[in-house]
Amino acid sequence: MKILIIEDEQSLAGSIQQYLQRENYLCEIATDITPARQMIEDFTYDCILLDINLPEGNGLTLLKELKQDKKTDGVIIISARDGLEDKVLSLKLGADDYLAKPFHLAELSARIEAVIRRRYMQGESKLSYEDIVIDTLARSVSVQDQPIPLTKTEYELLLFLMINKGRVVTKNAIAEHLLGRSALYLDNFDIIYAHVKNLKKKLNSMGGVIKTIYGTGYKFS
Amino acid sequence: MKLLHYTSLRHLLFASLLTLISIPVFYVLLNDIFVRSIDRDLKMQAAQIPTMVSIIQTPQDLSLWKELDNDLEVLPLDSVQFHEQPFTRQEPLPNHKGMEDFRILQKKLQIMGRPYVVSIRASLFEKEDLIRTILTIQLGILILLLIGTVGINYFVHKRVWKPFYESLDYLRQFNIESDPSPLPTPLKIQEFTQLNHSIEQLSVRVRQTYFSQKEFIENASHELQTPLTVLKFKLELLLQTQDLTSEQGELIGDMYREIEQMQELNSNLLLLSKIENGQFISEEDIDVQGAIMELIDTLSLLAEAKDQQLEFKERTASRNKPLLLKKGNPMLFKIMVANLLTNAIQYSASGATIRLDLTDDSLSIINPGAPLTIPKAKLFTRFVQPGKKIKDKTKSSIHGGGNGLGLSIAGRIANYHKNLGMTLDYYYDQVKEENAFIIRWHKEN
Repeated sequence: MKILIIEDEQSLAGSIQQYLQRENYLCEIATDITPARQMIEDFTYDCILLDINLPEGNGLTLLKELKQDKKTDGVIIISARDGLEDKVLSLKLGADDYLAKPFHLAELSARIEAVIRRRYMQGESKLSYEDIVIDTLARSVSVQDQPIPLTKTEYELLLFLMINKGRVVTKNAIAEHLLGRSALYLDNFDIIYAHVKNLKKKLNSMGGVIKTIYGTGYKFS
Repeated sequence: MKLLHYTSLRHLLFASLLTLISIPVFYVLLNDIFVRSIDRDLKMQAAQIPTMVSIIQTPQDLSLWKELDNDLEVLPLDSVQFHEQPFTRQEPLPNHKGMEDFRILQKKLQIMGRPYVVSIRASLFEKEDLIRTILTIQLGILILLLIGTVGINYFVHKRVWKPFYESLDYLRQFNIESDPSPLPTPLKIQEFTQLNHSIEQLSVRVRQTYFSQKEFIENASHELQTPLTVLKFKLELLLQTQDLTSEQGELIGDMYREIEQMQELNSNLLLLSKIENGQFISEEDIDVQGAIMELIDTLSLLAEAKDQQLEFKERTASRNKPLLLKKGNPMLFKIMVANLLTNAIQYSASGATIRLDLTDDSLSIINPGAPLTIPKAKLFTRFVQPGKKIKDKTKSSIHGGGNGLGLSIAGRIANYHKNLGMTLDYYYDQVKEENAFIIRWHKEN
């Protein structure tokens, strides 16, 4: 899978690249509109991460060009949190998703995964790991073909962990994925712990795939 | 009390007092002058007495003299008390119509070889009359003068203080955000020119400070954004390292959390600046119910973490018609309600029920608990924590969020929707022991 990161902050782009390359993603970086335009013309990417604030101007111009050229690259817009009008505009212009800064890398990879799944696995809405199968269209989960009734929170939790499989996902990232910005106002992570515990119990024999990494978070493996 | 009334009243009081004192003083003086002149007359008359006496040879002459002059009294020396100086005495009038004041001068004389006291008198009746008339005229003049001076004073002051009031108006309407309107140029009074000059200089300085401070906050927050994000990303990468001990993991987790708090503070400061700079547009309709439902959905887990319930009481009437606020900013509205709701969750005890009451023209966010500890006036200022957060003491606690900007942002957002008549107020219900934040807006017809 090829991903283009259009971001003017080198160190930011570098971190994203490093994080994503652990999966079988191949990441390339463009730091401004002109080089990005060149790269988009020359190659096809599965997903483009596009920062709105670029030195040469608004990143959304690139999105417009992409749509005019009828390119099918998936696009995730990245913007400052208080620029939420950008969100409406981005989605209107045909972006696949929108992510407000600051975000967690785990969240970003989950979004990328979702975009790629939607775009390139048409009709294939199922995600599986060993005996666990998640149907993202029906929002249902089954273990060894046995349907498992999960609450909305548990479903989101499982999906988030599974997409980030093989990585340590911090409790912070999970909390923010589930609670949004209000996660910062949690007194403690007991609620995350409680939901993970319930989820593991419901997954029965497969509950062991969610490993607790003490002090930091959880890992799906 | 207004300045003009104050000075006029003082002036009136002083003038009245002066008038009141001047009347008796004037009376005493006038009286004295009058008596003196009568005394002089009496003395002149008395000076002629010896020549008269020299004519008197017989007792008949004496009685004739006494009869001729009504105001004359001749008595033997031993039968009367002698006064060297003229004096005043009340004596009956000849027609018995009561008593009257007379001025009397006595003189010792030898008549036909025997000592006599001759008293001559003059009536003070006319004097009383005259003094009364003079005093009446004087009083009239004084009153006229009083009214005149107070009146003149009033109008002069009104004119003189006009530039002062204009300066006062200028200060009252002073808005640090908007461009200054020019100060009116005062009369040729030096003090007012100086005052206006000082005000102008002060407002320029205040504005400069304000804007540079604002700019600083904006720039600082903006510049901090990227390094903080980089730091966070690096920590997230560090966590992926295979051979991390749980202790190390915990330390990284703590750091991670602190960075998130800093980022939140940072983006809140930026948001506040952007609202204050008017960088948001209010062009969309706010679907109030929709916004609330969305927020309840996202915040339900936060409430669940404290075993709290969120109870949304929708409008009873016109339920099928969505409540739309025309020309607002839905994102800002959501941030406002989210901040208030997050506060309500944080500041009420575990297991509490937090209510959202929606009417056609207001939304109340009500939570049980002790009243906020800070005065109302300071509630919506930056970095003010409205009270003690109630945490579950039985559980371990991480550094919980909240940077004292939530209410400030909410207040600014209410202000921002002035076109909708939006206000944000705080009330405490003593009976039910409930805190309530109420967002009000103008009802559409």
